[in-house]
Amino acid sequence: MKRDDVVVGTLVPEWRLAHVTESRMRLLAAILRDPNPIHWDRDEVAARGLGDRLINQGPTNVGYVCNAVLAWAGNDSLRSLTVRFTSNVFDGDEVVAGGTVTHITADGADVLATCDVWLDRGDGTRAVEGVAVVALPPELPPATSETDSFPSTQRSTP
Amino acid sequence: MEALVGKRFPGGSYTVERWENVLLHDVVEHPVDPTGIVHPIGLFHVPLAACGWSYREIFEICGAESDEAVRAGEYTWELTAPMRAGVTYDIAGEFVDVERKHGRRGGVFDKVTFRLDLSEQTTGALVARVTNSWLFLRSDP
Repeated sequence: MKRDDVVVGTLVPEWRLAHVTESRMRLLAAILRDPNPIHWDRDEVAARGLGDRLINQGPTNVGYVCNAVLAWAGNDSLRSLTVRFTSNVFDGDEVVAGGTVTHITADGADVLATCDVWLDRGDGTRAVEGVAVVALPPELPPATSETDSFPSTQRSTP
Repeated sequence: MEALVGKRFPGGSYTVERWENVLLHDVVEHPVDPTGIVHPIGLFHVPLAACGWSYREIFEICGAESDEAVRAGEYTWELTAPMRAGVTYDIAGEFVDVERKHGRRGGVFDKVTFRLDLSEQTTGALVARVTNSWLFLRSDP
């Protein structure tokens, strides 16, 4: 679709992940030197009364939201993002990220789309919500007109 | 706690190496950008890794009662350009707000907001501004 076709109500195509994996939690913990065991020690998660599954890092959950925006408008498109965490994501969870355009403005040569963005778990629980401002490229991948049914077993991005 | 407002971080610098950027993309399962753009997830840890204080020191400065008594609040990123692998960024910032609040579930807590700027070291150009709010639960306010 062309940039001019993006209107208030246009949906950011959903980004899906069939399974959040323990190995990637361990990888981020190593990169960040994050000693918090809730990301790599199930016994510790249970001891803290947080269930029996590892808890995904918040930055990763926001990263999924970013993926939806970047896959839609390009890796250099993000101008601002405000998020807050509303629930945990656990290993094995399916997640889907998406958004809806709420406002469009011109900023010099840029056309900026303000979008409500979110990440949901497979059970429908909202894990992250926020607002992104995205610079729209002249050409974008096709946008969906309505939210796909959920859950899905396939990622929608490369 | 109000005295925190205006307190400046020591600051520092950080370079996201190519290997680190590749692994960050692995973590979030997004294809690596061929031009070296760092995934925005880097805006979580890069400013804090080079702000001059450790998490532990920030917790102590903010009077955290324990690690478990700290919650993530709101995170805002403003970007004038994407971060790039191999580029060194200077980080500088300060505490900008402290607000005593009364939560329905968490009881009394202090919402502490701080801002960190990332500037390209060679040019001084501001690339990103990160504003984080952390919530410090108070059992005996």
